[in-house]
Amino acid sequence: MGRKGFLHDVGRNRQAYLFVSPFFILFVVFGLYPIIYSFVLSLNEWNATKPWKFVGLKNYATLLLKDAVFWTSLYNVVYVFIINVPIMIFLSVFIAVALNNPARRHKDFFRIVYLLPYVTSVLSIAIVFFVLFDDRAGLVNLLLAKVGIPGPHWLSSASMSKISIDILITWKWTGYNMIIALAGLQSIETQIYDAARIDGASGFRTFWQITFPLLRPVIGFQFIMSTIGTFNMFTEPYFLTSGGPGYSSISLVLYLYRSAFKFFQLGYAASIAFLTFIVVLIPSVLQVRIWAERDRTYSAT
Amino acid sequence: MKRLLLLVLAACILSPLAFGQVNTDLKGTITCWTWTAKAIAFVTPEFQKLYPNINVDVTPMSHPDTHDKIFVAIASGSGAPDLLTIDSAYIQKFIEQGGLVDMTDYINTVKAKFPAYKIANDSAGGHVFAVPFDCGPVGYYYQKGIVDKYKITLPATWAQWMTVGKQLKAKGVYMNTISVAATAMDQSQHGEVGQHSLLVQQQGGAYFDENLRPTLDSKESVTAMKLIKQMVDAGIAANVEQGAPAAYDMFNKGQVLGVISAAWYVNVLNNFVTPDMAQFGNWRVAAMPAFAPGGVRASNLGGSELAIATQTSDEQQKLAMAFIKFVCGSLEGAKAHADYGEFPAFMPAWPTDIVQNKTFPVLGDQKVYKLFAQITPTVPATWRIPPVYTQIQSILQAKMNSILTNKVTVEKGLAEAQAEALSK
Repeated sequence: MGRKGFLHDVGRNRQAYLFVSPFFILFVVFGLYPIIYSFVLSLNEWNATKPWKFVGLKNYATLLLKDAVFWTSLYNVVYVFIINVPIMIFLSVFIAVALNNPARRHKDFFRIVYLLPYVTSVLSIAIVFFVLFDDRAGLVNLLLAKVGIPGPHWLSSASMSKISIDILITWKWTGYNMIIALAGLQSIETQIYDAARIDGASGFRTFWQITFPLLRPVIGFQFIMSTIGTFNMFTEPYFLTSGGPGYSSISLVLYLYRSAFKFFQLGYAASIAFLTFIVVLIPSVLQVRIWAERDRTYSAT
Repeated sequence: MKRLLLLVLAACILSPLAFGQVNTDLKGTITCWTWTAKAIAFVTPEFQKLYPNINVDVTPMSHPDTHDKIFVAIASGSGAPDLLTIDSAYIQKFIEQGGLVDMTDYINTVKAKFPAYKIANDSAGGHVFAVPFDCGPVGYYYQKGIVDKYKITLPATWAQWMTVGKQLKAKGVYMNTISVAATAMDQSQHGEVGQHSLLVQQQGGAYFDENLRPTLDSKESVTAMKLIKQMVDAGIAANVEQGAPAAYDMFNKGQVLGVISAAWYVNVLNNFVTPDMAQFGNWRVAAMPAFAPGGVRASNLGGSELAIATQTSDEQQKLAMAFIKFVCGSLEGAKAHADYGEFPAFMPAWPTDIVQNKTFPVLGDQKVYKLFAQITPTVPATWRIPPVYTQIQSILQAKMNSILTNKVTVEKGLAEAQAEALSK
């Protein structure tokens, strides 16, 4: 019945629509409108006070074809993602399994300790790590020197700057991922473990062939959230390395921020934002496909 | 005759009052955002002697934050403080952005009292949009204690600098600090590129030609970068960031001889050298080394301007203008400014005691501003600062790490930076 039918439907259920409308109004005003505004802005050049100058797809062309810094920032973000995320998620699952053991004492204490980095602000962590990673006087290099290892230039060499960011991210987010994994573990029925024990499966086999596959959707969720978070990272490179040395640790969003607020090129920055969106979208969609594929066969609940 | 004497006497008694009239009409509070919060706070009591009913509310922020926030305030049309402090590297950018009050009428009354290059830096299209606050003539700040201890002669040329540097290196002392990491200036003010820029200006070069096209690969630029690389390769420059706590620590331990910096570094010394430290009273300033014997021993680094945003209300603009006229354009203001530790751009102050006989305890008994007043007229006035200056500066800063760590040669690195600058 088309449009008339829809309006009729709204009219009939007007209370229901009224109840859900606050979210949609807020979303349209604070979510949808800025996204559309930003996209239109990306087709213009604007320095925040002069009138918009329409340039079509010129910003995108410049970014993709002439801007080496954009590609470097994309590479940096992918690098940080690959080194950090699989290790961190595996670590979080491992710790969650260890903490899930009913025999372990002081579980709550450990859970709080692992979660503390998550609730601490990234800025505080970045500042502390900045001091810890100092070449000369930082605690990390001082301790390494005591063991006889020459401390690397954590923040002042192009080769180590991304690793330092990886360490910070892992330290901060493992706890959060652990809590999610823990929640996922709780949903696995203990009968499965009993059956496995009766069949004589070792702890190792239990983990790999029962726990891990059953956690698949949870791990998938962790991967997707980590993808989005890592590709959008800003605070870590801004405060820890300032995107440097050179452009070795600049991230997409940091480059966007600089283009907007340091170089007064808001249209260009908006186009970086949209390309970042596409860049995040592709692996996220892939992740959903990979991790949810066999969801029908292995149902955890 | 008696009447004449009385008149003369009256004139003598009344004239000092006429010169510095106390104005009680202007009332209110002006807000200010600045990284030189202490300078403004220092000057305010002197200002309030003439304007007792005006208060100055200063919010200290870091150098990058100040400019970021001013940009946002002007862009959004509200929220700007009454008084804006803007670095001379950024002022053209803000003039291009718009939103600054036209100061041409005031400047026309005082034009001859500020250096021409400062007025030019604050102008666009025949109008002036800011008032020069302080200048940054460059010198070599060094620790006299180290010079006396190792009995070295201060270098007059860069070649001598390398020789002296190697001598001191054998004793475990560095000439200055150059951070090879050259991290981006999101959170700092001048960066390592600041050292490069002052060397380029010393040679009479610039980052831009007359058509404001970038010239990062000019021969002055190559020479300057090669000199910096030479210092790093010879190991005579400590690998720490200039403003980092590690650097101050090394100064205190006598491990670094000094730093090439501008007149405003005096207030930096005032802030980090306390009377209990060995280095207190032992700092001195000398002219920077020349590229060739008898060559130019002067350059400029930094400097700032004061401006008012057009969005500020008319009453507040009057108050802010009173403050600007006082601190930038009067001898009393220049004196207070100089006492804080910055070199005022107000030229009538330069031949007076304010500048000629000013000493600071941290620098012993040396009349440092007298030296800077001598240096300033010899600074090559070729430097150009168009709106894209800070962007080009950041491109070069990003390149410095690759050059200083030998990932790319000086010529190739500068050529790459030039290509990137041209694409902007």
